[in-house]
Amino acid sequence: MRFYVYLCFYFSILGCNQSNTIPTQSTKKNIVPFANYLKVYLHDNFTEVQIISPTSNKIEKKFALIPHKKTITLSKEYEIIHTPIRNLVALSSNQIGMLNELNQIYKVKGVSNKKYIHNRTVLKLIKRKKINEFGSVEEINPEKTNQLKCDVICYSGFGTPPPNDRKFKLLHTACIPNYDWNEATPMGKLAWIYLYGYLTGKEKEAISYVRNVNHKYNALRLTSQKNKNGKTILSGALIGDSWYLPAGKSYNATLLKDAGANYVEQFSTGHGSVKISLEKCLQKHKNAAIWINPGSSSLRQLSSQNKHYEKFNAFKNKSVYCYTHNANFFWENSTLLPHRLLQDLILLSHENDPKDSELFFYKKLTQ
Amino acid sequence: MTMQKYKLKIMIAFALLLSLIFFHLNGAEFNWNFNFETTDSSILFKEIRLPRTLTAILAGSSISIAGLLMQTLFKNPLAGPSILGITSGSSLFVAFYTMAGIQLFSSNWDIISAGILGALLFSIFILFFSKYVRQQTTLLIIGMMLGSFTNSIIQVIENQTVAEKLQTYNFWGFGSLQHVYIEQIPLILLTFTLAFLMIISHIKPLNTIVLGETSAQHLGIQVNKTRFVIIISTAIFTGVTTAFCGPISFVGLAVPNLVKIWFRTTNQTILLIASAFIGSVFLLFCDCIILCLEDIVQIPLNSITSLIGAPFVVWLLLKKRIHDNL
Amino acid sequence: MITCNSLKVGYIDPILQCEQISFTTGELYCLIGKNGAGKSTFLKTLMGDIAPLSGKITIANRPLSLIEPNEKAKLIAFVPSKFDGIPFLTSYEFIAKGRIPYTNFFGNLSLKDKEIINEAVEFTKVGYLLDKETTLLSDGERQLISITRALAQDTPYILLDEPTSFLDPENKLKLFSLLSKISKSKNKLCLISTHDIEFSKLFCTNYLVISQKTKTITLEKFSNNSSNLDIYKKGFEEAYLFLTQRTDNPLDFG
Repeated sequence: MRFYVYLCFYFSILGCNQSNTIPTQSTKKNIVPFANYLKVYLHDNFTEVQIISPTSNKIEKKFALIPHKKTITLSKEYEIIHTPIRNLVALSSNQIGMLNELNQIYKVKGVSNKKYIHNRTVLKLIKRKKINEFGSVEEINPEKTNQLKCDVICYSGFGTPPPNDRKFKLLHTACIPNYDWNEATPMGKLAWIYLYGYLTGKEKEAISYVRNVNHKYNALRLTSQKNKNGKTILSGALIGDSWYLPAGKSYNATLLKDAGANYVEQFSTGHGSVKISLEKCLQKHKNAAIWINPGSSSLRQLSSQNKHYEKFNAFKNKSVYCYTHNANFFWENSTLLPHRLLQDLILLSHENDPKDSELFFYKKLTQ
Repeated sequence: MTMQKYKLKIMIAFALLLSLIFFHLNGAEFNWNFNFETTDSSILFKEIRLPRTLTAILAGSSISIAGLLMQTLFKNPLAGPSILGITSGSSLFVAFYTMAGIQLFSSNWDIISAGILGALLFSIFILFFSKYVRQQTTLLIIGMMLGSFTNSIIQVIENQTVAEKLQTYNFWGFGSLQHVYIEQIPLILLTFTLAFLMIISHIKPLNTIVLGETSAQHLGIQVNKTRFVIIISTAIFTGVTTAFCGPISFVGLAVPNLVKIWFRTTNQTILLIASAFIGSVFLLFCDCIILCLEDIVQIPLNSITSLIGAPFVVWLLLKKRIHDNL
Repeated sequence: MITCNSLKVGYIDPILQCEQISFTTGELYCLIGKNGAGKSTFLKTLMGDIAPLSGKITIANRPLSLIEPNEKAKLIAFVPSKFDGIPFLTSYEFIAKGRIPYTNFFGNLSLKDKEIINEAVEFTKVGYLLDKETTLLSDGERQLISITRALAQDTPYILLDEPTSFLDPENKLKLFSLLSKISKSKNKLCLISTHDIEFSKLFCTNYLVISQKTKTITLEKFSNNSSNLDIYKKGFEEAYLFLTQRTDNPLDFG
């Protein structure tokens, strides 16, 4: 259970929305909408993919996607990937979701661990030993990915290249760090599907999917914002001795704002998280009507973690909601279906006691 | 004579080492699986397997020799390279780098240079104390204090950091022989040779300090200088290995004791050479197991060294009934 | 010859002093004094482990402080009160360490070194112990090989810090007789700190006595037929009073 608490925390604090300008190429235009840390430029004979580091806001890696059978000489700063790629290793859940959406799940030859997977096909293939469990990018033996004909390893980036980066490169396996978790908006997060579209040759599908979802998302957002009386919402839970709440400009706060909720820390500054003590949290947010993302699946479990949770009004009224009853499903699909996530949050913040069947990701915590 | 017996045992260790090197280079498989026909497979050999094997050899020897030196200096079979806080120095700086985001170097040498810098700084610290401290036990305690002090700092950093960065640090802490590049091998080899020559050139003081520092002094040995040399070379052995492979546990403690039980001598020349061989053999063996189990389960190096090593050493102790001897 | 001149001994404050004492080779000296009187400190000062607070020590007409460590090791050997043994170190290897001041850069034994070791072994008759590990020996055997090592060190002076304190009476006797034999037949100076006056008196006439009152060391000669009480009178006054007068009990702590 600790793990889910961790994930919730991780999910809620890691939205770093930096709006600084990034040096772009003058001639061509970046075609990826919404995303801050992924850029794609279409050149005449190849596609350039740039991964921007959220910590430094500089280009961390540049990839040149070149169709098979074509040879182009490029400067050394590009790592060359021949597309469509044969196989890949996808180490984080939402990558599985995106590849599934593009019908490219059969190209996955490695994942992190089966206990974080929801996708049936992938689970079946793991059982049949067709998909390997690699743990993390640090643990992968380059020889193994070479054997499996993986052209790409996608992993959650954090500023430093994996220790074996250059060994992979020598064997023509590109390590692509993903900073979707640093994006500050749900659409920015979704836009990373462009990367998988261009890698697998399904770019048209990816583009139209993003356009489609954006449409739905905006429609929902506009209707919800007409309704001014959203409920007060408390988010997160204690980790150690601190309560982590998404800061005002983080991904989670953006979602809540778009849902028209009265999020308790909506005016806080910062893109990551707000960290306060339990005492402060009780003082300030005791009366919040709804409590989301506590990282538990039952009230009893929550109060066994910390008796003080019972003092919150939301707990007393049993208005606590989370997605942990099916966490892997949430991690695989919440990025992909931001409109469904928004729909859930709209229901939670405007309806009185929405039924579980109405909710897509969330569920009311049982006793 | 007995010298003949030692030579035979060293030959056995060497033969074991050679066969393990081949086995390891072959990806821990029994049928020969190498062809150098395609460029890919020769890259595979040169860039993946060769550095891994060489790292196992160098790291195994370094850590074992460092352990032996510490055990000799402190006259304590429980001493190991981590005991002086040198490993903690590496850990602290790597923690600074990976989690607190203090970047000191260009990205290619990042973790490594942080590790070496930490080890070096902490050994200078220890050297400074060793000048003023009369007894090795006090020095030992200072080393341990330094260790727990840095651990606390690391915990503070861990508490402040985000999950992903914590992961990098944790993986470094698990230890791995996979993260060394072939072009880094000459550097490791160079520092290894340097430290080894330093120790070999002080083999006589080292053989005397077996009797204890006071006795050594009465036999005309410059004890302070010897202590300096031992600490410096231990720092180099440990620092470089820790920087490249993470804090490899258990080997530095177990291998020298194992070698002493097998060879039954205090002759430091023999123990040095034997520790180097057996240390390499041990680490290669552990890494072969990791390679064999790769498809089933990923085991961190530090777990496997203790998993195999601890029961083996206990068994050996019981079998040889040497408890009155250690 | 070892000479001490207006010496003050101690770590920070002087605990012991002496005017002028000279020791000559071929003689056996016993250093006696109460626990804590400074016997070990005095021996450490003579070894050069701690510097005297004032005064001068000369060994073979050279000031002690100016002698190089390796040179010093060729002049003075030291036997501690107890050697606990070292795992896997055989007696022979232990004795051979006595040759370290004479060996080359790598510490290899030359033929001459081996000869001297054998000679020392023959002298102390410890040949039967050579292949045994030092941790497996008895206290008496360990003390014997410690002395053998000092002999192998081939120095004109040997200092021994209470070498008999952990031994049984038989071994005490054996050790004193051996040391007396060493000083006579090998023309060495043996300086022993000890509490075993009864045994020492059988072999020794030169006593360095630490007086309780004045905290000074004086060299006293006792002839073979002077009684133990004469020695007690100098170094252990309370014990002397108790043994001679027995009026009341001076050692009664109540």
